[in-house]
Amino acid sequence: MIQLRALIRVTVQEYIRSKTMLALLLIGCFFVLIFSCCGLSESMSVNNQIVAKESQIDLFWGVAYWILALYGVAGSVLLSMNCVSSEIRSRRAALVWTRPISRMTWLIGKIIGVWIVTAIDTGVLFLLIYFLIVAKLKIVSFFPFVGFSILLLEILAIIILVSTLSIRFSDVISGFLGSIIYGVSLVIGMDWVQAYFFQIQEYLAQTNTAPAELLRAFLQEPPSILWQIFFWITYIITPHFGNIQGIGRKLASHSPIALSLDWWSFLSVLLYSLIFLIIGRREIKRMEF
Amino acid sequence: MVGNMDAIIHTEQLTKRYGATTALDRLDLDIYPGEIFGLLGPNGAGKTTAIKLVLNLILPTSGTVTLFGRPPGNISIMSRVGYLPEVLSVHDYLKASEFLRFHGQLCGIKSNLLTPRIDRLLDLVGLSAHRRQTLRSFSKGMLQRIGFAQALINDPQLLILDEPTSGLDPIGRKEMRDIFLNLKEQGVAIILNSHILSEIEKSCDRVGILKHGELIHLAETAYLSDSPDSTARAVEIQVNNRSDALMTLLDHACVSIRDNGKKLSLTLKRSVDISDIPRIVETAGAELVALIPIKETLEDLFYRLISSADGGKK
Repeated sequence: MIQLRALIRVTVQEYIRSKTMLALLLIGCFFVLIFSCCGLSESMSVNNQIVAKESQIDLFWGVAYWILALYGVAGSVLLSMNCVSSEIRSRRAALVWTRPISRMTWLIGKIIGVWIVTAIDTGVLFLLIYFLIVAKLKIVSFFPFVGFSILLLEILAIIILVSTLSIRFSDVISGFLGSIIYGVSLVIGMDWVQAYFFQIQEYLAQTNTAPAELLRAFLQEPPSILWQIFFWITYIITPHFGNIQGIGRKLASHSPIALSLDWWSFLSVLLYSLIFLIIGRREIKRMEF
Repeated sequence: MVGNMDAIIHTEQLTKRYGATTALDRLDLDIYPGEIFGLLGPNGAGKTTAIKLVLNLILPTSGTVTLFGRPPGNISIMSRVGYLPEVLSVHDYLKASEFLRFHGQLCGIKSNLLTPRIDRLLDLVGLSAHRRQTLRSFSKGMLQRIGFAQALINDPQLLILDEPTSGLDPIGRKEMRDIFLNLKEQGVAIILNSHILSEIEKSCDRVGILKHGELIHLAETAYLSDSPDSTARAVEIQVNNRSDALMTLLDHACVSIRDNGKKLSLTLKRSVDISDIPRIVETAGAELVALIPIKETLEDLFYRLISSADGGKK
C-alpha cells in the first residue's frame, strides 16, 4: 500500500505542479459561467406559464449533468491518453519498475492518480453548480451527490480504457479510439435510440417525446433486421456508458425512474474496465526497455 | 577473493537477440557479495543489455539469470537491488528530498525510517543544500548524484551502476569511488558499467570485457597482465653499445619499439618470451644494463582485445 500511495501522490503532484489541473479548472469555470447564464431563476416561466419546481430541478440538473459529464469525460480522456505512455516513453517507468513493485501496481497507481485529479476538478465544478442551483431554487437535495458519484465511476472506467489503449497506440489514436467507444456507447444508450431499435411499443408510447417522433417520422419504417443485428452487436460489445450516464442524470434530478437501476449496464462497464485492465497488464508485463 | 560464496547474480548461457542481431551471446557470469565488478566494452557490446536482463527490464531469448537465487522481477528480491541508469529520467517536478522519499516508499520503507535516511544520503552525495530544489533545475552532475542517492535509498546488497561518474568532476569521481569502496567493505556487490577505464581499474576487483555481445575476457584486475592469451607483452630495456644490428634483431622480435633516449620500450611478439631479450642483446654485441617488465594496463588490454580481429578468447 505504501508503494501504491506513493505512485498516486506523485501522479497527482505532477498535474498540480505542471498547472494542468489548474488549467482544466479554469476551463471548467467557463462552463459554469455559461450554465449560470442559461435562464437559471427561481420563477421560471414558459409561455406565461410558471414551470413547476420539479420540472425546473429536472431541467437544471439535466443540463448541469450534461455539462459535468462532457467536462469530466473530455478531461479524463485528455489526461489519461498520455499519463501512462509518457512515463514509458520518457523511461521514467524503467527506473520505477526496478523497484519492488509489480507493473500492475504501477499501472493502477497511475490510473488512480489521474482519476483523483479529474475527480477534484469535476468535483469543484459540481459544487459550484450545486450551490448555484440551490441558491436559485432554494431546494437542498442529496440526490445530485449520488448522481455525481455515478459520473465519477464512469470517469474511472474511461481512464482505464484510454490509459490501456495508450500503451499500445499513440496518444492521439488512443484518445480518439477512447472517444469513439464512449461516443458510440453514449448514442446507443439514449432512451429514444434504444426504444426505436428495441421495438417496444409500450415504451415508445411512454417516451412519446419530440426526438422519438422525429426519428419515427424520419425512418417511417421499423429498422431492418440488418440494422437491428448491427445495433445489438454494438450494444453488446460497447460499455453501457450511455445507460450509466442516463441513470446518473436522472438520479441527480431525483427522478424516480433512476431508482430502477440498470445493473446490467453497471456490470457491462465493470466488465469492460476489467478486460482493459487485464489487457493493460499483459501489455506492460511483456514490455521491454 | 572469489570463494565458495553463493553468487548474487548467476547467468547461464544468457542470450538476447533482436531479430538477426545478437545483443548478448551466451553469457556465463557470477557476481559475488562484496566485489566490484567492471563491465567493459565498446558501444553496442551488450553491457546495458546484460544489465537490463538482470533487472528484468528485458526478457532473455534463451539462457537463465538469477538474482539472489531467484528469477529477476521477483518483487521480494528487488528490494535488495539499487540501480542507476546511464540516462536518468526523473520526475523533474519533484524536489530532491521528495524524489528520494518517492523511491524509498516504492521500496516499502516507512516514513519514520526514511527521513533520517534521506538526510544521510543527501549529505553523502553533497546535495543537502539543494534538498528543496526541484530536479528540473539540477545540473547533469547534480542529477547523477541524486540518481546515485536513489540507488542507495534501500540499502541495497546489489548495486548496478551504468556510467555512474559521467558528468562528474574529478573531485566528484574521487568521492564516488570512495563510496564504492566503503560499500564494498560492507559486503555490497557492485556492477560498474563504465567507459572510464582508469576508474574501473582503480575501483574494480574483476572486469569482464564484452565485444559484439560476447564475453571475451574475464579477469581479476590485479592479474590483468597474466592473461594466458596475451598476444604481446611490454618491456623496457636499457643497453650500452646500441647498434643497428641490435635494432634489426629487436625489430624481428617486437611488435613495436619506442626509443625513449636511454631506454627502449618494446612490445614483444607472441612467439618471443621476455627471457629471450638478454640473448638477443648479447648476440648483437651490446650490453644489457636493465630489463623492466611493464604491467599491461587495463586500457592497453582493452584496446588490444577490442581491436584484435578475432575478438580474443575468453
